[in-house]
Amino acid sequence: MPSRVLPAAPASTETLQDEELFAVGEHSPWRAALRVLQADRAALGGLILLGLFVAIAIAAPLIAPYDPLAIHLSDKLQGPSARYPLGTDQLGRDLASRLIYGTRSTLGSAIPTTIGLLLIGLAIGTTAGYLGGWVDRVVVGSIDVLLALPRLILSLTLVGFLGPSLQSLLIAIIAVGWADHARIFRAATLAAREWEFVLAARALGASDLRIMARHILPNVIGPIVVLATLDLGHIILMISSLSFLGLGIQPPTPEWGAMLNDARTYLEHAPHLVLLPGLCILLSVLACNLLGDGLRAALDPRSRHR
Amino acid sequence: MVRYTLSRLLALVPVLLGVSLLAFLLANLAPGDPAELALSQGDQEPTAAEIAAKREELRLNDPMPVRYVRWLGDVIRGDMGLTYTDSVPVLPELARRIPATVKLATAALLLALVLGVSIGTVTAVYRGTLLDEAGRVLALLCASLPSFAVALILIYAFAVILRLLPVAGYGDGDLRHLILPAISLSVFTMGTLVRLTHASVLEVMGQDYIRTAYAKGLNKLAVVLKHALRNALLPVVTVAGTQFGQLLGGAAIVETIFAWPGVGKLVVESIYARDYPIIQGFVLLAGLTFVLVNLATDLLYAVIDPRIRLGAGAQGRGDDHA
Repeated sequence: MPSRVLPAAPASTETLQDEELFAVGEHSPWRAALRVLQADRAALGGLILLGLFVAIAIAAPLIAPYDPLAIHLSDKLQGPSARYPLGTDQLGRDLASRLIYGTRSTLGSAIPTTIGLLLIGLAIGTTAGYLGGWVDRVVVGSIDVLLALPRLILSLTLVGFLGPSLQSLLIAIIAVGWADHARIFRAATLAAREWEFVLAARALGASDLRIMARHILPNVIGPIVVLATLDLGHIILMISSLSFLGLGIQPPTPEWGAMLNDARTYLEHAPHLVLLPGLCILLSVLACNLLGDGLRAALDPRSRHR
Repeated sequence: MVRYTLSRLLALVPVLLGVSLLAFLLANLAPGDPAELALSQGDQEPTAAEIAAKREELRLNDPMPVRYVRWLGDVIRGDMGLTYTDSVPVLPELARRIPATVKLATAALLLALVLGVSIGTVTAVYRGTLLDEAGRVLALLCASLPSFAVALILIYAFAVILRLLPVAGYGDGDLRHLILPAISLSVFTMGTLVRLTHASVLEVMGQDYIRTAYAKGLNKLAVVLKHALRNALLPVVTVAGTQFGQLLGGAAIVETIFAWPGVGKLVVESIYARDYPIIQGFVLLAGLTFVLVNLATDLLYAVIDPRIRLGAGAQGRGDDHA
């Protein structure tokens, strides 16, 4: 390996743990996941919370008391009441409805982005690891360049060049984020090539595609789920941060980060306009982190010895 | 050590070239003609003749590779072009804002290091107790709260309700203005460092030489401070370096909220104004800073841990498998 700019991860940083996860080839990740959910109440809580947010996002039109865009100027900046369960914002829009629809815009963009990011990282990483040669060198070079810049700075500048919009934001997140995934999947592919049962399958005459699909993929699916869960949290944070800056989801579309930005001016008189969207971001990201950490611990061979 | 330093320095060249290529391509492939953008700041619509003249002036009609090499030459000499909005040189404009951002990011990193390392160590030493649980919850919260939400909550508590600290602004270097922005920026990094220190101390505490230290009759405090922490903090040094780069990114958000006159705020404003040269200069500067900080941490690491420079220094990093 050529020398890289980023410091090599020492034994106990998270990066290395990510890669070590892939070294476990023996046990079923699904059974492990089930076990961790039974034993780890925090992870179970995360799963339930995340499920709740997904349910809210899907059922938004059924449970929202008002149209999230409907303006009632005469009722602006009200506190919670029977009419408006969580109060109203500076234009008299119902806060509860906006939070509910906010779940929809956040998860509706974060989940597809997470999946897209994983698939692109998986495709590029495994291809580079499997083919080697100049393809690998180009990919590794690009990864080095992308990882040489902080993620947020790079996404920020990409949005800057593409012009602020949700579409630019999602492109930016994927264009920046794939490097991290590709690096992990590339390392995993290199390791998987040496696994005995992969060598055995090859000796039996299995094709590359069959080996990838039948032998390697089932063994890396667990770590992929862990990555995806933790990533979903990061992406929710990223979307809300950039929307807060006015560079992502644009008003009047309800989105938690953008709502916080709108509420800044009214902090003194209507703090609930800041606290409640902040709480939504906190809980949704927390759910991902709880679940992801629990699953990671279950798959990490070292943590089971403890 | 010299040899190790040189080899690490040499490895930076291709990465920095890559960063410069990225910055160049982004600005040149972005929608909109640079000549037109440079002219259409303000209200008046530039005429076709004016645009053509500007294209000639900016030498936009040459082929891409020629322009890249010329641009790179300019950048190396410190000329990053003129801003679109005020037509002033980009580099001094950025440089003027750097001290404020470095001040903010350094304060945030120090805060995160002091709190993160102490909380991480204490929770590892008192593993399994209520203290440990509280530390875990704190680290999770820190990793799940966006800096802007922390900032607004802090503003509400300390500036609006308690009226103890200023809401925003630089305050001519008055340190009271630094407190809230630095805390907001440090929260995420602190969470990361708590978890990392915790894991690292736990790992070290299981080593044989720790048992030896106990067997010598040392008390717990001496074992932790003299034997465990020294080794446990090695990974923390590395991660603190990369976190500094992340802090520079996070500064964009925090600076915008607190009207902190740093680079991050300038960049966000330039994005609104589509002032590409500033964004481009920022990418270059951020890349250079990040890469140099990482190099510095690597070298520091090699100074602390002789295994690195002696074992793998000659042929690059032996422990590098990414």
